[in-house]
Amino acid sequence: MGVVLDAAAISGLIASMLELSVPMAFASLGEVISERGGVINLGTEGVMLVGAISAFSVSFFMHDNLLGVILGAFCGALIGLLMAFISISLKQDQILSGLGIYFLGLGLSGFVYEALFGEIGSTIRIEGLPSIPIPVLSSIPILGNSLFSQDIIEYMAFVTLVIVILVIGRTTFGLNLRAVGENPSAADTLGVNVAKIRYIAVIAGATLAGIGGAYLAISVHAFQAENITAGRGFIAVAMVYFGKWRPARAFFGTFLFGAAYLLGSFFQVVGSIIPYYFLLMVPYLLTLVILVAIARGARQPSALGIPYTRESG
Amino acid sequence: MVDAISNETPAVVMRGIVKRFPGGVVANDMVDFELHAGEIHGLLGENGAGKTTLMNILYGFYQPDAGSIEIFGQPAAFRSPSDAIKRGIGMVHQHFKLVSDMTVAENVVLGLKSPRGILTDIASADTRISRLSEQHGLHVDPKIQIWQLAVGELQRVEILKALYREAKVLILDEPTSVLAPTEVSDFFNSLRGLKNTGISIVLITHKLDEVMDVTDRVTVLRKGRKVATQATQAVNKEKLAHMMVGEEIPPIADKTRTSEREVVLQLEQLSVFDDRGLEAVKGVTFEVRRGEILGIAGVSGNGQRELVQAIVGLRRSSSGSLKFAGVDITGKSPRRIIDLGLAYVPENRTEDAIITDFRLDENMILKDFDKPPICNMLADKVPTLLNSKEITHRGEEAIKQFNIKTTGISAKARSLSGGNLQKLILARELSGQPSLIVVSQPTRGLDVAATEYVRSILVQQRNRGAAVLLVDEDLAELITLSDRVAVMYKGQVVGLLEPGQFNMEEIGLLMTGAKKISMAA
Amino acid sequence: MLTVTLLAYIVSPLVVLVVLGAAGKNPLVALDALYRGTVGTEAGFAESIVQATPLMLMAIGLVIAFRCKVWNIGAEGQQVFGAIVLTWFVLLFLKDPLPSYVMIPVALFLSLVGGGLFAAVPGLLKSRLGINEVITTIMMNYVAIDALNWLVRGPFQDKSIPGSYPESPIFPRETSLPIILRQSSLNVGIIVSVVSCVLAYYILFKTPLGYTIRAVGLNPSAARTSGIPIKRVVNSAMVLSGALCGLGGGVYILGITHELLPEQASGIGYTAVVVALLGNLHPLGVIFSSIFFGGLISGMSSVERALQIPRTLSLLSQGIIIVLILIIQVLARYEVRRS
Repeated sequence: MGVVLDAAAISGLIASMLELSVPMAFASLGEVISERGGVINLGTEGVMLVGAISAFSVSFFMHDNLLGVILGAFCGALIGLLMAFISISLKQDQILSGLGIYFLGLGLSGFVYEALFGEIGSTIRIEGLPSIPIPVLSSIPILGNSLFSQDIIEYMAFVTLVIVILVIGRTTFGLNLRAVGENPSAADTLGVNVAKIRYIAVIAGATLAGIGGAYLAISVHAFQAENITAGRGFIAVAMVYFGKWRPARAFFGTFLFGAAYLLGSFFQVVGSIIPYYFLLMVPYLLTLVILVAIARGARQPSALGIPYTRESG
Repeated sequence: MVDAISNETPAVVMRGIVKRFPGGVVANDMVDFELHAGEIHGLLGENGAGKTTLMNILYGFYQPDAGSIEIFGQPAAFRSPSDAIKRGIGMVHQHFKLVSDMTVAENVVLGLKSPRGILTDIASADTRISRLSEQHGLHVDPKIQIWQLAVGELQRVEILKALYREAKVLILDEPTSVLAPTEVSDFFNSLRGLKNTGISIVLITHKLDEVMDVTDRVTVLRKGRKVATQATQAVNKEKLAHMMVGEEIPPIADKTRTSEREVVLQLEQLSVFDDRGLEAVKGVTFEVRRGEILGIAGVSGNGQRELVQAIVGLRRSSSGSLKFAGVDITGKSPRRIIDLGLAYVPENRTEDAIITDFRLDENMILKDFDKPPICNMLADKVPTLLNSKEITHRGEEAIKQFNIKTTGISAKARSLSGGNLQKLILARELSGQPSLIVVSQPTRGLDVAATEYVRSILVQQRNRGAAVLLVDEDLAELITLSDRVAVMYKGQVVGLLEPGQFNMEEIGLLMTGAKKISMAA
Repeated sequence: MLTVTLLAYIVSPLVVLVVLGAAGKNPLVALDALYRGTVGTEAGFAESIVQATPLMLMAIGLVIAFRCKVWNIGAEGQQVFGAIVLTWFVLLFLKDPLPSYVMIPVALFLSLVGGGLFAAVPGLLKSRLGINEVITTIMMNYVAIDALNWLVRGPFQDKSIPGSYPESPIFPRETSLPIILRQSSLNVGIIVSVVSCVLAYYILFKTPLGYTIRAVGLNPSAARTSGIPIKRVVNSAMVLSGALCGLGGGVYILGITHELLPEQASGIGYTAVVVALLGNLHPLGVIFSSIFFGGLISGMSSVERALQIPRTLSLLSQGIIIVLILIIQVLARYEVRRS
């Protein structure tokens, strides 16, 4: 039963962990933007599914993964638009709207899969993305083959993190966003268009979730209706709480989950006394544990979850 | 420097303004308003007279249903505050519009185009704000986060927001409601300073003293209509009061003193923390006896809120003792304290006292829905089913006794007007002959008739022998109703005044901490 | 409000037909199959009711939670766990079953308890620590499904048959719910469900507990100020909700499958969310909406068989329905305000 944990193995583990985390990392960054603006999107899971099926379809028929990611982003944005409409313009309860989006994404992605691929068979594979080693850095032992030899979307995840941090902290949009999530009335009296900012936030968030879902399909090389995300969208939302609405913390929080998923596959290969299905439970139990651990002392954006109306009289 | 006589183009002309809100409320009914360049113009009226609405229209927050606006002679049709801001209008609202975890500078530049395009330029904002603040004597550090500032400083930030945008017209909505009396005179000096730099100011207020003190002219609104516009020199407080209310204010019913002097509520060295972990109530000691009204005076934000929450069981006190009819209620739940005989009329009616989507009869049973006779009991111990006959009966009685204007007991609470809502709350709270009544801002937002009614009810309860704890920002009302007055400043009781010791000046000094009276036992 | 709901009932099958038409299938054939599968034949009608039964129980359970603004999305996990606890009990008596008037009530009671306990965890996390119940209940769903998958391949697996199938042994006859309609699976479960809805009505509108549940849902601040113990009410709502969902899982397994299968986690718990909303969160509405959905499920299988299309279509319809409901409800509210 011996397992050799040499440099190559560790390197492989890190690479797998990154690959597993990136979808949630994207979704979590998106949700940070949305929630900083005051809108919680529980439909992120549904958006990821839509992103996944878009990418999968494009990849299969057109053999172009990057195009698939772009379509995934675009479809995510469309779903985000719907979510924004229902929860901002129609002022519906955000929890309910998010659930509606979840069901919609679930049904839509499953249906499209069956419609396009139902007759072909159940084990259809697509190709993944090539890894792009960074010169010089990729010669570093262990990290060189993993952290510095990722594919382009994985690199993009880190770049997106930096962009999100800059946008929230240093741009006028970011300033407006934070104000709108904390005290929309204050922003409104200064002429900030609260609805517009929230629309942008929700759509941006959903776009990132769409990219995350797209990458998930590509990295797993397949699409199984309902099962491919297996709760990752909800975990991404939980990570925003975990990260106290700070982009970097939420982002790296999702890496914890990459590690958790990794445990499952690792033990499946290696064989262990813990039943496979118990290992599958780890990410979900871990989420629960984390939520309990950070329960006290987390301060959320004051206007989170509350539709904004200009008071009359 | 700027002449206040109307030969110049007026800063603002509003003609025939009409504004209706859903529900049939006509907030502004053909109102004309003119602001001369470089004057301080008071806009006077009771709660609900339409002053804030009119100014919100000027600020572009609302659009009028009819009427026209001219700014310095040019017509204006504002679709949002951004439009108004561009034309030089600035407004400081009664409830500050500040984002608490952003800095002063960030709050000031919010909504403005940045000189660096997409990126914010807080550094240059810091500099400019410092300069403005020096120039106008409005001292505040642009780098501090809002939550760290005191109330008076917050107001300066709000004014700086307008000045930063080069406002030529400044609208101030009840600015002194958060200030203590000595802070008010400093504030008025700043206003005079601003006026001297050419800024025209509208001061929305319901306080007659302020109008007489600092304004050049005054416009009185009543029930959505303009009553008159006069030069301040041509009127006095009595004339203004008459214009505001339209009829003589009847004197409060005579308070007959009762002989019972039993202590109902006792606080000893009570301390309470606020949401931020700071001590909001510091070692407060007083008692309230049967048959008296003890008024708590003080500028809002000096611990009154936390004090009341501790008494009614919504907040744990950190030290000291709290006794109700001799029973220690420290840390007890609201349920227990209500069972001991507490009635509570909170200041936020629709948030804390009423469930707006419940019917009237459902709201009436909010405190004793699981007790007889409202609830049927098994073996006198276990609640089973609600007794609909009793519930209906109680609802109908309440409507009759308190004269609540409504379509019936099955009407939803949200259909009631402010005055009728307060009557509903009183009907419920007073039905059990409570021994302690805690009431906060009882007449806020009520019309004249409802205000009178509520005041007389409170006096009636006192005469019946209840102990009443009255927290009221309306100092005149507080003094009229109270038998004794405790003044709170920064979480402490700085003065406990017997009848005969009340006068506005004395209380004003206590409220600012300028004076402190040692406690009589 | 009523017209809005009726509108949703009518619009959704039409939407489905349009989608089918767009996918190139003949809508008239579909319509015919739909009719036969719901009310057109005795078998179809029976199937509609059978499918409606567990939905009704879970949906009414959700109504109780939702009225308290406790967003219990864990119906799936709670019904699975209820079924698991029930299965454990039945397997104890596999060789030597007790008479049915003992087995059935005890089994159902255990499924009720199991669901309630399973829901208590997210309930406590919410009331004590303020943790969002949507995320916790969904996490618990996945935990329950993984537990189910492990059990039917492990301790609960039927070892008596050759091969390795993920299923429990078939339950003894004594555990089957008595059949009402000959030669169908229409069983007394529907009576249990309807009675539960009636009970829920009384609880919500005629008891102190129901009063507090509704009060906390509408205005927790006013409720707290008046002395209502919020934490206790939230916990009660959650446990009661989970118990009914667990019972739904029990009725499903004793009325339809008669063994524990991975299909116990077919997503019925998520459908129940839609059913509860479509029923306007009212017991009477839930009775109608669950029968409607039961019909939809039965009718759609009939259509699937006739046109040879997959299950995911129902999923899509559900998603469209819930979004439509939300949009239509807002329009209805807007109309009411204008009049």
